[in-house]
Amino acid sequence: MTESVELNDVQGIIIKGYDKLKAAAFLLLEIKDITKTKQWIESQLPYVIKGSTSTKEIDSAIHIAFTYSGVAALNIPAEGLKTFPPEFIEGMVTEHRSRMLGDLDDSAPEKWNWGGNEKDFYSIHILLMLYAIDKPALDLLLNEQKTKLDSANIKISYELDTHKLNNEKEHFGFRDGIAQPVMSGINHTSKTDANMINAGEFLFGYQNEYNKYMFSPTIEPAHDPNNILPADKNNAALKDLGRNGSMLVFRQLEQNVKAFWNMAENAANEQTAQDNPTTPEYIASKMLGRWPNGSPLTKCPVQPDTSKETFDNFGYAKDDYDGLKCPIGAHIRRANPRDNFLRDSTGDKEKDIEKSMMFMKRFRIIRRGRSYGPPLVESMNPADIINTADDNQERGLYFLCFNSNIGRQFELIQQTWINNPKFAGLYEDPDPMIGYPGIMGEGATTTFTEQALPIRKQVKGITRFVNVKGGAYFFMPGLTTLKYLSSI
Amino acid sequence: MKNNDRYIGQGGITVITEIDPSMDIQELYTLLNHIGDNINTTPVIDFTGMKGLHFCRWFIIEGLTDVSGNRFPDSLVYAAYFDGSEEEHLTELLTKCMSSIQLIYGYCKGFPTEASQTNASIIHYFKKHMSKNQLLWPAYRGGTVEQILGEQKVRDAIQTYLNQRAAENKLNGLTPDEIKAGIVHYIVNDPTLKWALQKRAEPPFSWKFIYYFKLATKLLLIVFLLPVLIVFFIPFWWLLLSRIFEKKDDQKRKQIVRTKTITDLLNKEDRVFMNQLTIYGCINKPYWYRLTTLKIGLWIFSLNGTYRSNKGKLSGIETIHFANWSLFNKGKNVMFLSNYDGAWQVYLSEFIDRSAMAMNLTFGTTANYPKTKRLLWEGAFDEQAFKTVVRNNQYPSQVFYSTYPYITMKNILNNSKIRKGLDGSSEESVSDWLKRL
Repeated sequence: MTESVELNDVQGIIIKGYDKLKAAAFLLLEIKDITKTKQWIESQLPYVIKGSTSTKEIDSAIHIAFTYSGVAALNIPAEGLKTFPPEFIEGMVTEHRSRMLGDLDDSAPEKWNWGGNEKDFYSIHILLMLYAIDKPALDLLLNEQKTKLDSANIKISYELDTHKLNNEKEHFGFRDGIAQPVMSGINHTSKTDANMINAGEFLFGYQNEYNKYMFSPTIEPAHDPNNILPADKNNAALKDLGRNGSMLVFRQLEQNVKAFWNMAENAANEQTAQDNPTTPEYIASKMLGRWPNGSPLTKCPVQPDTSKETFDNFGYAKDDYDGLKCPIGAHIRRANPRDNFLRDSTGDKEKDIEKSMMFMKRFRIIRRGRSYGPPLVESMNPADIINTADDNQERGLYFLCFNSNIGRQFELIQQTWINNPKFAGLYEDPDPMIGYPGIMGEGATTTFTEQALPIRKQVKGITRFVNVKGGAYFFMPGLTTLKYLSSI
Repeated sequence: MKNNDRYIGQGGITVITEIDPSMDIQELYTLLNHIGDNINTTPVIDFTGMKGLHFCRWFIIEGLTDVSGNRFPDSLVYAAYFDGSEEEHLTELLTKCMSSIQLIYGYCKGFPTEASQTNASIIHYFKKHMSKNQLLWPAYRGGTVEQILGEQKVRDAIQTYLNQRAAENKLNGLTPDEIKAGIVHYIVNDPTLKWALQKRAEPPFSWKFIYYFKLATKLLLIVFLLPVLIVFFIPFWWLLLSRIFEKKDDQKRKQIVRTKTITDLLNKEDRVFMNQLTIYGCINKPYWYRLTTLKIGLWIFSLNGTYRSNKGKLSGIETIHFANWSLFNKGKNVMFLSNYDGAWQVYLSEFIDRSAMAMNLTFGTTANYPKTKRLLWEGAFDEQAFKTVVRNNQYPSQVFYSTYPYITMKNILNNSKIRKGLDGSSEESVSDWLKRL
């Protein structure tokens, strides 16, 4: 039986992306006065939008999440602190994690704008997310918050502004955010079964795709004298801090738009010279797995189809096993291998598909990213991007995703699928757009193989266009826990 | 290519030697870490000189007890996987790394004194301390180091050839057969690669005879024991006893807590593409029941691994190169060693998703394992609890060496199929074969 999600206790951003709220800003805060901070949290509770609130009813939203240093600063007892997930406790920056995530060389934490050094690890406590209908409304919200934060003696360490691009695109000019999982236990009729994932994969306190309750942060009942928190599902003798909360991965990814399109242009010129006339848009789309307008190559291999811009109900195993339409190493095929997760694994194609569908549900994330920095061209049309000179402005994506097991979900996807040059039997092909083959040792380069008949084509020596410029792991508590945190 | 002429099998050894209590164990850690940390940059030991070596590792067991708390003497373990016989491997080890072996084993009890050190006396010492492999599973049977490296070279050479031809605009308009003919021509004309056009040697008749004879005896044994299985084993041993003992086991799901050992472990992980897993633990109480169950489990595993899963996949797990179970401390403790591709998280997920029952039947006999039900169920089906117990029983290897840290099992299998297309033993169509490139 599907457990129904307590939407009125879940922060709304986990449930919805707020497409309507076009302006957003993220503030990274440092607590200076514990008592005042708790008062501030309590005063903000009415404004934290709940998952049960319809987007139609709101024109602004705020959300609150904490780093490990943040929850520690709020005086959660030491025994309780230990029960947070190890990835969250250690933070995004450890020597091993940097290897796994590919945060090396130009993406090394010491070069980050925020979150990369020890000082930030200890002093970034809170993430305050502000959403509003437009820029002026956001500025109002920001000013209002700044006054409140100031009086609560909370320091704004970093202020991160976003920039919503036209046509739901990201800076390279591709439509983004199409394939999203949804939680079962919420009424979503339009979603395909493959995207229907047990709520426990994203929220603590619900069964996950192993039909277990994820280990949730807990405290002894003695530390909850007002009996605010519910009992832990794994151990009823403990109180559950995690219930209806989620782990939030936040990474600032800088995109070098011109470098990306120059690569695609050079590759197109090279292939054209070899009597395979092609275009940069075609090469770039092969690397992504969707056309710039969003239509998937597996369904529209020859040209984009305007009727399939958000089309997501497809697999690879039957229509595109060999990658002749959407290459095996393409970005969307690695980030979500769908029914082709197992390739020639059980010896029976149907069984491979069935198991792939089941296993894949264990490796999904809810993405809530927003772009930042001005677009190179307003139209976000690749042809215009190619014809525009570089303006040397900083731009990129604030990658945000929710999951309940950072190690098995976000980190596994990043290490085993995105950065992995050996993905699905390939040899030296990490994700051509965002992957980094650091694991292959010094001087390793990226190859992109485009499966084709009679023989594959290759783009060699691809450099890195996307660099990490900041990041941290956060815990976004449910509203009850937020209330508890303001009361202790 | 030696195994074009004759079949060469793969072997593995686990040598457990007691560390001399009068020696400073920290010094041995420092020595081994020094060797291990520089292994891919400025090697202290010339492992590349050992032509038959796939992987090896050294690790120290310190402070281990059995389930009743009796201390197992602190020991050094050497585990290696190689082509050919144990004798051949040990001889090669001593020929190439004698000074390091003397240095390392100077910390161990019973190592031949300088005066009596000869190849023979050291080999005798190693063999005396070899623990019996309850199960040794090489994923790719008959694949020698020479062949694995050679076939990778063939694959890379074909890639270079194809890219050159494409750059010279000479691939366009060719049929699959014409492209393949060009590749074959290129390989034939390279004296360092043309061995690839010959087939690998099949195992000799005597090998096959023994192989199938053993299978026949094992199957006969099962048939012979069938009445016992039905009357005694299934109802009593499997269904009844398991529940009695399982209910006494710790029922609590344990959450992971990062210890210093785990941090040390993580520091050594993902340095190259291949990783190693070193797990050991105590056989749980009641000892007679758990040990016998483990042995039965491994016996079934080995039957499967030898006769069924012998082409690169162990129960659907596609990332293992070698896996090895052995009992030690007079059967009170068990050790699992493996060499695998890629990330720990996904490797463990493969175990959980694809062979949780096999994990339960074997690891389920060890202490602190997530609670099982009737030997096969629950246990590893609880992902977080299983990963927790693995991390808690996993230990760093101070030295880990892989001869081909960047050639994955999938690459090995694909390379060998590319080669089969060259030596004429492939049944694929030419256009399917070209998809492998």
